Amino acid sequence: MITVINSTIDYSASSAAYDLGTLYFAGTKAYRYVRAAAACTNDLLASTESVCGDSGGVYYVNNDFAGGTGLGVTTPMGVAIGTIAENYYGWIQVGGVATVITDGEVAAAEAIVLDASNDGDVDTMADGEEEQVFGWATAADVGTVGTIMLRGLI
Amino acid sequence: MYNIALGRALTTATTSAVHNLGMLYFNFQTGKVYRYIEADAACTNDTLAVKEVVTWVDNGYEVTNDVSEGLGVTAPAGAAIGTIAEASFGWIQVGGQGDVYTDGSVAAGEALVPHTVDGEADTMAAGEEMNVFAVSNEADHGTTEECGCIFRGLV
Repeated sequence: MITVINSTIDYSASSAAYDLGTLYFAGTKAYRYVRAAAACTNDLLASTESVCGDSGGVYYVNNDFAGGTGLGVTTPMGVAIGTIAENYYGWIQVGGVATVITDGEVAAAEAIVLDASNDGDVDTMADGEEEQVFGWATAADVGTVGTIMLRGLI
Repeated sequence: MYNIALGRALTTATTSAVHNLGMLYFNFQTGKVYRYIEADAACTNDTLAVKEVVTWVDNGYEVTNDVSEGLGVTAPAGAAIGTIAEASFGWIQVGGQGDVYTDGSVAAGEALVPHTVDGEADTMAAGEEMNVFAVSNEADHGTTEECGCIFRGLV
């Protein structure tokens, strides 16, 4: 079955329009339908923020890596492509090239993990973090804006 | 992207192949992904059972629940979703949320690797990063310990 969506991919809603976890492929990118956790950093998921799993339920995601109900940097789930308020439903990107928020020190071709020190950000993988990698940098970041090729999230 | 027409349930195994080995099937609505495989000719308990972690035997899309057979813990293939007898053919899960048997000490949010006990998953230890095939989204539980997880990197 091919998923057909009836609104823009960055649209979010207070009730689920699809089954949680639904996959959608469009061109060179892939997306998964999720629910934002009940308590996110800044009360929402913002576009280009990276997200982890959440203990609220399967396919719940959070930009809060270190506190609250987020499952942390070992559980990367994808990248937000639009604003999703707490407890709202929407799509995150899980395949293809994504724009992300970095720590400002990412070089091209580096393996990328969630940044344990900054909610919603990504960081260069350090030794011992290999299992957390969910993308690689397609170019050096510009300021704190980076592009990564997502991997392992489908 | 288009799916094949299955013609039977994903959990149905057959004694001869009805699809090309290695084929992927996406259930877009559930977000789960499956791969068509052959069970090894000598599996633990003579069969692959639902929720068992399986590893590659060779490069011919043959898998086993006997971790000391074939390629072992460094070659996770996915998890069984139904019973597949030895040398029979069927689907295993390789993407999305699923359930796997565990060693009884898995916490939520942990990286999972194939265990040295046949068919089970274990929490990743340092030096096992390359064996990771899933992340747990709950602590394990049950009479036979198991947990929900999100598969990673198997597609």
